[in-house]
Amino acid sequence: MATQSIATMPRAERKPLGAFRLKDGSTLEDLIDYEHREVALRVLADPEIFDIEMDRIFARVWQVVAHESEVPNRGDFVTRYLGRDSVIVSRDRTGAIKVVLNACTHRGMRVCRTDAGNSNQHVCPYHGWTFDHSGRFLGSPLAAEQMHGSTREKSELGLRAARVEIFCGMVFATLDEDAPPLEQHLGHAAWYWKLMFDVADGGLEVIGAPQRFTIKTNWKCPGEQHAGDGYHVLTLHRSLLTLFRKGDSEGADLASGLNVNWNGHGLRCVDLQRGIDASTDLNTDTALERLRKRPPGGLSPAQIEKLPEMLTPEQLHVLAFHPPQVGGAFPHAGTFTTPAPLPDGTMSWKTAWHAFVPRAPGEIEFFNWHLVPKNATDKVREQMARASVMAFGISGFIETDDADTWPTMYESALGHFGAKGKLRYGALLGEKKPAGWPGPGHVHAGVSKDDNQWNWWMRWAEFMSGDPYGDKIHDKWVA
Amino acid sequence: MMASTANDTLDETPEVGGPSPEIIGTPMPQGERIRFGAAEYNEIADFLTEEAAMLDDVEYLKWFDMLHEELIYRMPVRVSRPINDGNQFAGDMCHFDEDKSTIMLKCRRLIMPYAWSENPSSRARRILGTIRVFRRDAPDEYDVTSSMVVVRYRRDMEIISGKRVDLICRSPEGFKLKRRTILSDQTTMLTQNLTIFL
Repeated sequence: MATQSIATMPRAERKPLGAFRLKDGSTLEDLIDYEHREVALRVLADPEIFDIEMDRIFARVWQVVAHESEVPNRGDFVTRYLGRDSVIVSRDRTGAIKVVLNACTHRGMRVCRTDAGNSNQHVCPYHGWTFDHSGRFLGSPLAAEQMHGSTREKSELGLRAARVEIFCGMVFATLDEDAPPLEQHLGHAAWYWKLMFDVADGGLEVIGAPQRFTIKTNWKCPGEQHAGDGYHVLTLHRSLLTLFRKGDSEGADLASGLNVNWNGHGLRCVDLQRGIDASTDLNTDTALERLRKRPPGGLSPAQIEKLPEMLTPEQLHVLAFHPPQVGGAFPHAGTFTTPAPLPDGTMSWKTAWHAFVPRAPGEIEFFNWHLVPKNATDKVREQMARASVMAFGISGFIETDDADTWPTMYESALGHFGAKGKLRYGALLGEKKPAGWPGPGHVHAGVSKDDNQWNWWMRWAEFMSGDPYGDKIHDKWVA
Repeated sequence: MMASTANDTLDETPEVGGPSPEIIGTPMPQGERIRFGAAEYNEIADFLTEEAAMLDDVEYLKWFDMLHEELIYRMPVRVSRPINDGNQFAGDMCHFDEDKSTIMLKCRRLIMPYAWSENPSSRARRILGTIRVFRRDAPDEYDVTSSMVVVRYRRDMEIISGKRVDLICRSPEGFKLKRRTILSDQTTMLTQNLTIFL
């Protein structure tokens, strides 16, 4: 593979990586067809492409690893992944969250070997090399013998530290020192995520711990879907329409709303005036009146009354009538603040982040963080947990169908002829921003088509080109 | 190892590495242990065998009849922690968090032809062992623990293993499952989804 690697380049020389060429001579241009808006199906299974993704995407991009409430106390840690690297996410003695590579600089052993715990220092179980939460090498047993050797300074023996930023309580990290600030990576999508995850006065917290399970599929199957595929709901999730909907409409109203995208991130704002509330009097209410009757995300009455202070009137209107409910953060996260039914048919809420962590071309580990307002009553917390688990994640009646079908996309891409197939994104709405729409980004009002997913693939291609932050990228973030 | 005396409760002799009952909300076996081979033991073991067979055969309606109206059916998320560092279960987050109404809803969905996750059906065997039966203070109620290995095939083989802590009641219509807590051995579940019951 005639391809430069970001991992082996000294920092000062990190110019754009050159184009890659696969063993069979293919280049990026052979994998993505802008004219027909098609992607070669082989990208879902080819191990060579997977290796390039680990190098050009997951070694560089900001990735969600945890929620800050998972490590509430000093010394708390959880172990997570950046790409295929195990990392330790911990809260240090100053209260700051640190993320370091979980591979001892001595012999490579995992320093932390549990999912979670509490420790003042990270002590490797092999020879006792000891590190602080920021990865600094503190020393090793038999200090007088200087067992860390004489060829390296102690300052060279620390665990590699990731850059860390918090967004709406979620901990993002990257091992690329040259990545732009997280705000720039999230870009205009942040405006919508703040309406999903930053409207609870006092913040959100994780219920318990994330569900974790493995699916034998490629990470891009859930990745591109979460960017904004509302269309699949009509067929893949048809069983839900039968269970929960009266009448037998084709369901186009469910797929209606606004798809918004930016920089590979995508979100779907639903049109509540056409959806579940279409026949109620809520449409004549003011935004605040409506939010009082249908508090989103498990917000308490007191939290609803705080909203006018926290949001502009325009944001309040979007939250009440066109709330962003589902979406994805490039490259591999899913985002939800969406109604979820309780067994008795009344509506509760699911507020969640997913991460689809790549483990192999055909395997992901699915992380599912369920969130709830920090000061929610026990009843609200219990209802949101139950509604979330009933509908989403490993046993939920929605996402279990996705988990059964994504693997077959990967399997198709393993076939000789299957690999020559295409992922097709021919159906675009084009930019259609309703008059007065206050939100930023590319806005596509109407039935959920391929606009968001195609934006996702263009971002994928920019990372794969080796120059994801250069002048040529299609969505240039402006402050 | 737990001895099999009447006084032997988990409060006094915690199982090493096991869950703390307070945190996962599952009262652990109490009361007199009923020995293997005793009539009540055989009845309970027979009930569990029949229940597993109904699930293996995807006989949702027959299985549904074996569930108590007040069923609580949970599978808490497991987290590996250092051995001296408290509880391994997330407590308020579960892989399953069901009652009889949600199980009915899910079963209604699973028999639809477009519930793709179980069309075609998974082929799964539930292998039970290490069954222990304890007589509770309440009449006709039993705490039952069992080990479970489930081998499931869809495209690939998946294995689920764990311990089940059940509350089983005797009623005029036969035994009913009133509470099941499934304590998985896996922290990251090695299964793509849980559209089979355990």
